[in-house]
Amino acid sequence: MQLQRSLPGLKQRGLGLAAISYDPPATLKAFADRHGITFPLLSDAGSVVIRRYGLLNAQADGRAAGIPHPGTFILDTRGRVVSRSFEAAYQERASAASLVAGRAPGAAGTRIDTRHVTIATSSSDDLIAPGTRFSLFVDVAPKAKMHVYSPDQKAYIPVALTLTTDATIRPQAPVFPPSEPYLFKPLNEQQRVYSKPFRIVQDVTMPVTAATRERARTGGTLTIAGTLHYQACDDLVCYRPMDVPLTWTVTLQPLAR
Amino acid sequence: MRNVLMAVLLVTAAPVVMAGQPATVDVGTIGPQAGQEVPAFDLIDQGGTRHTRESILGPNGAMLLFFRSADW
Repeated sequence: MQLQRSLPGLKQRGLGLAAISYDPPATLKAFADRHGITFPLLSDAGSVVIRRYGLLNAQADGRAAGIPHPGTFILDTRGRVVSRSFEAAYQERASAASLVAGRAPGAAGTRIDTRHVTIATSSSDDLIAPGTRFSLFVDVAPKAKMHVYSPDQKAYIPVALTLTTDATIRPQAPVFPPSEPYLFKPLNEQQRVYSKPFRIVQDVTMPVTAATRERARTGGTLTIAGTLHYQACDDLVCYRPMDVPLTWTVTLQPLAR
Repeated sequence: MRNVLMAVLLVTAAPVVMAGQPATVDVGTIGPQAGQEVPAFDLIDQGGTRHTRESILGPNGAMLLFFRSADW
């Protein structure tokens, strides 16, 4: 399970890890044993904590009643949210095209909030076969009075996107939009920044290999992980540089014969 | 006059969700926001150990996930 593989890295960064669901401890134990999970899976029977956090999915019913909108919080040492990442809900429209495609068009991906920016991830394609080159999008919207440094601003920490890659994904160079000039009054310095919403386009290719063909044959999903690095300042001060974990999930399909 | 008032109220009221057209949730607005302290909890894990908001924290904080279910 992916999170278990991240555990050593999280420990190295001094971060604890815990996950919450409404399942009873016995179900969580079976799940942990099956997937070799060593971090705590917390049993929130009756979804009390899920409700306390305001995360209850009110539309889920039947067996699914009580599930949360799934998401992740990164907390600081005082239990405050440093960043949060949630799957954007599908926007369902009852159109014939969407029913035929079997998949609703519109917003999908993750929505992340930090103190400085909101970030949304999405991709150009949801069904990926080996040999496909497709685009990953990172939409960054600086919050009020905030700006981040563009890659052409050399003396500061520029916004950058890196991907965790293995043999299933080959990244191209990410493409950034043109930056704006900005006069940072406290230092009377001309800078290159993004202060309005902007999009980073990161193309990736899934190569055709025996491993990717086999993986696509069995279907399922592929989650691509990356990190957005940025430093944000407002009109008075600069904030600590941030590394925000991002994910994109696509569905694999076999090569057509 | 009353009919006019009712018509104005209906027009300005929030959209009614019709059957077969689920309302969407702006996931950016739900739950604790950046900078806010998350609510306390005291829960048992898969091995019977108790964990709280404080006990899950490492030297630099923690990653806390909410997931749908371990059962399906």
